[in-house]
Amino acid sequence: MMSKNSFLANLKENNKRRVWLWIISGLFWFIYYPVGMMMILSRQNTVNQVGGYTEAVSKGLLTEAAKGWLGSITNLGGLVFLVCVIAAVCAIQGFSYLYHKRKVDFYHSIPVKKSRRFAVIYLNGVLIFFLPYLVSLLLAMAVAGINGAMDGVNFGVAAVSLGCTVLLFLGIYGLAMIAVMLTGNLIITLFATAIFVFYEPLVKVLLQAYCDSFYKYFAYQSVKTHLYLSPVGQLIEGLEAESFGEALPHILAMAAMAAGFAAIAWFCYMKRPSEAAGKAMAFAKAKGVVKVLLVIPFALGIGYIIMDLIGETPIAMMVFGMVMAVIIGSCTIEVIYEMDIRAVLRKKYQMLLSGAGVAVIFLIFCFDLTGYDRWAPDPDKLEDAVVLFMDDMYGNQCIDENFHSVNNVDYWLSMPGIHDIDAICRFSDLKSEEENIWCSVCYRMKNGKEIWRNFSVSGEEEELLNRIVGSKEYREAKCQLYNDDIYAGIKGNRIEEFTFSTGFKVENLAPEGLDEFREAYLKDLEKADYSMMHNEFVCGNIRIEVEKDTDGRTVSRGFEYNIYPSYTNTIAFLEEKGVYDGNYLDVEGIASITVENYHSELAKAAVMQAKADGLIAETVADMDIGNNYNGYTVTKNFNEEEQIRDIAQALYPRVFDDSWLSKDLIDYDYDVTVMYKDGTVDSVYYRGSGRAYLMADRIPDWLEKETAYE
Amino acid sequence: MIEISNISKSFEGIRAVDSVSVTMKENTLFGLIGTNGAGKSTVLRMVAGVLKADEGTITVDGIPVFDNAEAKKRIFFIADEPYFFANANATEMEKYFSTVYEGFLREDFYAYLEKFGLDRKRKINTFSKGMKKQLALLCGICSGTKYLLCDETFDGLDPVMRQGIKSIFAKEMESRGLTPVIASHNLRELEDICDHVGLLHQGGVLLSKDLEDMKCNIQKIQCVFRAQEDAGKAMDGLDVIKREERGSLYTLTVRGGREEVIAHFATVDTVFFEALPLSLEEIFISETEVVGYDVKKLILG
Repeated sequence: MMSKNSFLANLKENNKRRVWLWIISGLFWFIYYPVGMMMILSRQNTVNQVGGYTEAVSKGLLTEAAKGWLGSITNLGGLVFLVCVIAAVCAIQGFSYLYHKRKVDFYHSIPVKKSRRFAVIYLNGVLIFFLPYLVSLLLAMAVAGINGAMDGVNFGVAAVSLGCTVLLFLGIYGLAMIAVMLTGNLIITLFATAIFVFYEPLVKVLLQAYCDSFYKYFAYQSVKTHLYLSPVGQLIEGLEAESFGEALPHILAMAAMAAGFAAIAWFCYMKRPSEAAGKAMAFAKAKGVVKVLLVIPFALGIGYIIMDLIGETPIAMMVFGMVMAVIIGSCTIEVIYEMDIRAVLRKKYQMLLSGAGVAVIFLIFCFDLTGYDRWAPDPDKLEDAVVLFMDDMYGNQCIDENFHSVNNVDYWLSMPGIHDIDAICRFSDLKSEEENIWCSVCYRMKNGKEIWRNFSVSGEEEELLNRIVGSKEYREAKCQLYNDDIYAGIKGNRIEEFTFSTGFKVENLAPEGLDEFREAYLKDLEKADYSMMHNEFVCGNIRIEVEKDTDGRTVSRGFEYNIYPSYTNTIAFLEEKGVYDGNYLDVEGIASITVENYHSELAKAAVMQAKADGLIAETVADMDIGNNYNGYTVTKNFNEEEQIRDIAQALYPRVFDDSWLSKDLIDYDYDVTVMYKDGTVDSVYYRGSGRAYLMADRIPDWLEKETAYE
Repeated sequence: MIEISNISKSFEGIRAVDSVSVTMKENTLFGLIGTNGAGKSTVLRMVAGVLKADEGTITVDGIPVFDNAEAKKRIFFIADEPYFFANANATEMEKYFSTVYEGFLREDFYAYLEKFGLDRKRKINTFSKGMKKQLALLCGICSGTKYLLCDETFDGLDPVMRQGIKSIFAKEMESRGLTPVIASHNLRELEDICDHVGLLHQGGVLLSKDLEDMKCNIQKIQCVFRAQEDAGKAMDGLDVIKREERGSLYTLTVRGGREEVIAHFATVDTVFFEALPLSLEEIFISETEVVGYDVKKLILG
């Protein structure tokens, strides 16, 4: 028999006060899961009937639809937000008696220990969420089962969904409870909850924005994106993980947060004075700390907004804005604390403390007191460095041995860095923010520390660039064909595409030739360096697309490899396969060629004149007045065979435009569109295109005259 | 016994209770009196375990009270504005209290409800202020606790109800040793029921004494002496606290036992002599004036 004042009796009595929350939670989950599942499956059934699918296909589609609904939390959509709202409501409603003196007098005078009362309210909040959720999830699974849409995968998805939802709930529930414990009324609790959820990401974004604005060589890669205090952040990272092993730290972090937040809430509850009911803040000692922690980022944020609006670094304006922000922020918070406008100027020392904090942080950034930009690697302490050239790495898809997609920066970082310490140090000494080749460098120090810098160097530093780009480590990081395991993964799956493109046309290659291609290409890569890519046109491109069936879905990965004239082994391979003849396109297939000559020099001169005449504001950047170029553009269409042949020998496919290619080699004033005889502008293959530039030294004289501006 | 030893409590730097030490003996009715803001409610809330004293200790039957369910089982606290669950009726409150106070007297509770004419099924939020106070008192009386802390609970009760509650107090005190502690700013309300009173002022205790002791040791005499020398003779050997003369009528507040004082006056020749009962208010005025307080201002405002 249940003792009258037992934990269960307390639980039951507490539940009586929370009936409405049970009803809301029950209704919400019931409508969301079983009813929603019925609607989803009904819709899918209709689609299946209309589509006339076979029974097996229909079942697969139904199962897929059920999976989507059972695992909707993993899509990081609105359900995440709703779970957060339910968690906050459960926490606030459960402990809201703390806001009212009468209720506090009542509950704190009855013979129930504080710790038990906390446990009762905490557990009830969890049950209010969990029981309706679990029952509804089971009902949804039953609905799916009745419709033949449940299988082992869907059970797994439901289990993952259950785990994610519960952990997310517990994390936000704990945060909201802490907010209740620290505050004395509902409005402030809501503010506090929002602050707890958003403070860390906002402060991170603010600091990153300051680093980006004040440090010339700031590298965003050095910013840790982890949100240590955010259950939502951990959930996102956990769900983005490719394997359970990768997700496990995030699952543990969420569990630790749930436990940690609950422990903090319990501690605060035990320490919370009853007389805090109705006040803004429950703990007098926390007032000052909270105020300073809010005012500092607020003032820095105002400073940043001023800087962003004006578009430069207006120190005086920023200082004024931040001083005002400190004063207004401190005064406002004090008024909220005291609920009395006359308290506006109380605790001036806290205002001064906030101001000092803002000043210190601002000075650190403004005068680079940490020496961020001055830093240079010490050759004795440098182990190696990973150099990421923005123009030479993005667009390449990276995978791991298990065929999972990998962020290409992460892949490069997982590879050995460049060990040519002398080249790296000399390269770093050249850093500038005004040159044309941008890179991010991760210096890996002997003590295990990683230091990132983002800077530009001049393309004229060919010797150093060649030492880096031509290094074995750089090549092996750039091209995954070097990696035997990954190559085995590529080869061991379905080769959906193995093609060669000239930029205009695409030719199929037999998958059996993959090994031969790899061998030839890796041999050629040894010749690859900056000078080659700077001085040679890309003469073709190989694409390999591989598909793999995993967990009932098909995963596709694609890889592309540019070919340069220096890659003689690869070219010989292609010639042997009969897909390469040294030409980008087949002249016989061309119906006409349209050439546009922008005459940008004339347009720019006109713009300059317009600025001088006051017709256009001086502050308008040239790039913003592109419309003024249109008036000087001359467009001509050529369809005679000789003209076509003459132009065709100068065409360079736009798809191969590479920012490392010397700008002297292409005349960007010309834009060419090729019309094929079959009536298409673009090639039938998606990788081919009818758009091209003209090679600067091959432009026929007659074409220049034909497209001259008169 | 509730022992309050040197407790202090401050709210945002304002000292609400300052070094208060009071002992509330079992089976007596303790009256805690004082002006508004004197600290009565704060003391009661600390005794109830709602507030934690900044300094000092409070024990109930030797058990520290703050966050101690064992001690709180012996106490029922009725705040100045009693709280009832939203939309609850008397039956629902009984059910709740029955779970937290294991000795809750359910039958007595319903019997009292009938006697007081309170509908057990009617929503409490439709009750008048006085009815709510009655219900809170009935809940407290029937909680089965040894100590009943009432904060300004008799305010708002009509004289009949007040009398009814007082008689229940008397009955419960006799039957099971209930010890009510009543905080009030109204001396007249407490004087006919309190056994012991503590007077709080500005957070401190001015005095704490048994009412009977006070009443027995202080007498109010009205008399007319036959001759002036009789007056002089009567004053000799008496501890006169206060003396007023209106024509030939003397009104004296005298320290001493009633019999002793009457015997003293029998030795002098009086035309008229009467020993009058002192009101609590008068006793306090007299007692506190002695220690230098202008209690008229404190109590009567």
